Amino acid sequence: MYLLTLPLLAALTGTDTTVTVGANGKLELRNHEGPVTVTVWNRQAVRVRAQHDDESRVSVEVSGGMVRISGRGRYGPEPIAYELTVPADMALEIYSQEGEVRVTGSKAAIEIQSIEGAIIVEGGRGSVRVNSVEGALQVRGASGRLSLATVDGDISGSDLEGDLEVTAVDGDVLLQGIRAANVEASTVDGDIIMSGEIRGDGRYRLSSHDGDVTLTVPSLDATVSISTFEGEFTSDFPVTVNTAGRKMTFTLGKGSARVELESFDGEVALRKGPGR
Amino acid sequence: MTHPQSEHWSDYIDGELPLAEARELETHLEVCGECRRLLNELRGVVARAGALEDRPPRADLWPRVSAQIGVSRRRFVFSMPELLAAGIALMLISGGGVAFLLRDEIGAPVAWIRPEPEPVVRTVATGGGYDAAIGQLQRELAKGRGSLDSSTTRVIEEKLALIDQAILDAERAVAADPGSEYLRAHLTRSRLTKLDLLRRATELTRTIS
Repeated sequence: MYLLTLPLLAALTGTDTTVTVGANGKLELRNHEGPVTVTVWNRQAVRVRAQHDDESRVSVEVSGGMVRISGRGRYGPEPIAYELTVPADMALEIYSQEGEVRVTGSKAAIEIQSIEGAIIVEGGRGSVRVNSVEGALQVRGASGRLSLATVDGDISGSDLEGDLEVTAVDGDVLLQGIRAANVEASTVDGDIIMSGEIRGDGRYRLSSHDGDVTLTVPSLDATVSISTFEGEFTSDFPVTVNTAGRKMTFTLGKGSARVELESFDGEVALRKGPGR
Repeated sequence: MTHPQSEHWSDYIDGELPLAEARELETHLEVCGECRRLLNELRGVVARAGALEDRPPRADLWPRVSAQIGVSRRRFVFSMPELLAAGIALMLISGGGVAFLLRDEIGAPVAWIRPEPEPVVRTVATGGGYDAAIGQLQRELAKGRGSLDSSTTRVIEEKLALIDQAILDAERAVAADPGSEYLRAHLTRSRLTKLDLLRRATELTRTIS
């Protein structure tokens, strides 16, 4: 056991470097394989800690407000585990082929693209775009223009403000504590569950092909349309439904907001409850 | 029922329609689901186009795409099939290419053309432009699939099959109930979902390589 482990440990080395950056800079990271963790601090600097084998090299290029980080092994891409510490106002653009990406505390724009691995984001302002092929997404406390998309995995969003677009192919969508003016959430195969506030000038569309769609709100002042092919609709709110074909419409309050709930082959439910 | 004139949509979306006319249009929207749907879709497409970043376009792509989907560079057309075409254009041209290529149209007042209701199902169902766009993306994906690992390729193929099943479900539903506005829109969205996944997968192969 020890004979096998010690040589491996000996072969691992690391990079630990800190570079000074200006305000409102941008960081770009490309990683082939390995976890990426980003946290923030109060210094106008970026600290890059990376664990990799002793034949790999991590490049940190600083140009103006831009910091570009990439790594390479002797014969090609090798696994590298990154721990980055950045100013909270630094925009982030992270590309990861394989491995979990976790960002905590950012107050800037975030763009993350991953092929395989979960993406977990707490924070983010302005434009937040999180995109994965295979992996769950968790985004909390972001505001601005928010776009969350995955092909295979669940999407969980909480405490989100702004305009929200959520797209899954095979996975559930769970949105809690949403205070967005516009929400468009869709999945092909999965449930969509959203709770939050519905703004008077807002537009909300939740759509699943094969899954249930549930909206939970404390109160509702909206024009609501419900569409389903083979499912049913239930409501905690007293409604008088106008039915036209596959679509039911009704108005609650003044009908200010627009709410569209659709499930081709699932149940649609409008629930009264805390918007948390 | 008299639908709003085509130019009214543009002005309304831009917030430039006189108040009285805007109120009249909104009154119409209260009772016309077709126009509400159209307005929502128009806003979605415009918002999407506006949100695109200014990355350099693939200048060689547009002529082929436009020829295949039959979209003129001088007009946006937003019936359901044309909406699909607009979606195809937005999806096929990576990043902000479409914003760059259509910058005149996006920046200038746009003549929104009223949909012709009749050809909707037929065009979507036969889907010449759609099929061509799908074919083009599939060919691009096939070329670049060597850069994806087998696990990613398998996931994408599985999810494309899942979407194909959803499209088939929607096509059967539309065949059973061709008058359903929801089912037609659902079919179009299901097809756009497939295009979107193919586009994303194709972009992925470019990013990796």
